[in-house]
Amino acid sequence: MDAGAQPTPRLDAIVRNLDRAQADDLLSRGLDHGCRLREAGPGRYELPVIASEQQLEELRRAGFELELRPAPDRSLYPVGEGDRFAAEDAVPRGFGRKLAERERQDEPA
Amino acid sequence: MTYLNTDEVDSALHSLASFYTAFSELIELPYRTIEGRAQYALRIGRHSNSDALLFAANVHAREWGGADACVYFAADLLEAYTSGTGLQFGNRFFSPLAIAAVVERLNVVVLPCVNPDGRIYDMQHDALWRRNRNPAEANGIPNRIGVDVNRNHSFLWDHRRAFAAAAQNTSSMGSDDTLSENYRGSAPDSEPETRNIHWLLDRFRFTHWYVDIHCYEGDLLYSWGDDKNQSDSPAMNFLNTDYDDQRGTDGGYGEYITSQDLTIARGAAERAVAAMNEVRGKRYVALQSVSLWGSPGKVTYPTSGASDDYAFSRHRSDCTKGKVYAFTLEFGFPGADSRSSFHPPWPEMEQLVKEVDAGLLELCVAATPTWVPPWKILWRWLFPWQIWDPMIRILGRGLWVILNALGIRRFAGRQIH
Repeated sequence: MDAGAQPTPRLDAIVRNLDRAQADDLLSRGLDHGCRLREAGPGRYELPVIASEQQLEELRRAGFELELRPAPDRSLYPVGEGDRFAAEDAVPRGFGRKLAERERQDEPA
Repeated sequence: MTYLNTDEVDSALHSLASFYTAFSELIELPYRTIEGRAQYALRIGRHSNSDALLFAANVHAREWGGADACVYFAADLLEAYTSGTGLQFGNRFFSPLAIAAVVERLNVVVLPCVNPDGRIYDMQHDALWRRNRNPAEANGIPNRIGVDVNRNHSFLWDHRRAFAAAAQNTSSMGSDDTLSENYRGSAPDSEPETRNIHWLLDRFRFTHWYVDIHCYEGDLLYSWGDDKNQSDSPAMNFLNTDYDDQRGTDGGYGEYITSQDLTIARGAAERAVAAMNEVRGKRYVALQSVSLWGSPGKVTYPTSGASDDYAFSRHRSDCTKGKVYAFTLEFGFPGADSRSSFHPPWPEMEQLVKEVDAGLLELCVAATPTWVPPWKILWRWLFPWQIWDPMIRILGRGLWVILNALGIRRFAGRQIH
């Protein structure tokens, strides 16, 4: 395999305005949904689909109502560079507040 | 702040283990990933033979935040114990006594990144990648690379055989198509990531609780995941091939769980969910795994080869294994798009880490024994797992042979061969 070969890019879409039969049809197509069927009003549903352009086109041709969702700015979910724990005294600290019981009781409800 | 890169996940564990040497231990897992990466877990606990909980995360590559939540959970627990304080996540407070009891009477084992190859790939390519990076079945086609590690475990792995036809093509089920995101692999337990989880469950043979951390459904799921629960017919269970064409639908089949186990599993899930909701008022719910996509009691998300079912099934398919109550935690809620759902903007992820960590800690508190009898400590000290494990296997196998020789052909629904 070509080491540099990349998979066909996949797009993020949401399929809207599904009735139950359409939703069941969509769920049986072996696509990547990532999330559950969401109710969008009485008897109507919507479902995310992560799929190639070609797969989305097939869904469009089958009558599904698709809305593409553009990728958000990557700076919203930044990934660390380097190693913030490489230094000997750099120990991870969590987000919980370390409190004695007495201090907690003094906090407003 | 940023998400941890994959090297940082490892170095965080190394750092914690070397800083808190008295009550933590870095564990290198025996199987390297397909791309040759070592995997690490961290054990937190005063006594290496105490009862254990195992928390594993980032099985699915794009679900980054689980690894961060595990690292910061370990950091919080160790720091709070050392400094003799309690821990507060939002509005949920855990007392210093509770923290001390967890570290002194339990082993908490965290495996923050089950799928490092996939995590790296997804972080570099922004590909919404789910599977690992095993190219063995891909025939040179990049879209066919990878196995869904959470459909690879040896629990009803062969969905074509073990499930009703109507269940076999549901989007939740494992798949034998290498293009599917749920591709199950070439054989049960074929993946090193799968085997590493099994190894940890064997290594800490007193593990009674297991949580597989995913996102983003806002649920904590308890057993079973293949079909709805039932407590009336012990013979109707995953080992009984008579029911192979009935599983995974809303028909007559139900997976057997004793009413006591169901009460314990559901109660623990509800307790953890209450702690998570207390953090900032979100609405996590406790659900049976198979009902993930619909009403309670309905079969809407049947799964094959999933890690939670594997963990809970071990004591029934092999009498030498201990009982492990197993859960899948789906932290977070749908965002504006799939990327911000799978790895939310960091400020939101920080809040999610607090929710996850409150839920995990609540499970630890629930699992903490009020008292550990001295003879239990002595017994486990005299017979550490290296001795205990083969011994109980030999005794267990002997029991099966005797039962078989006595002509007892079925034991709790299991056909004895």
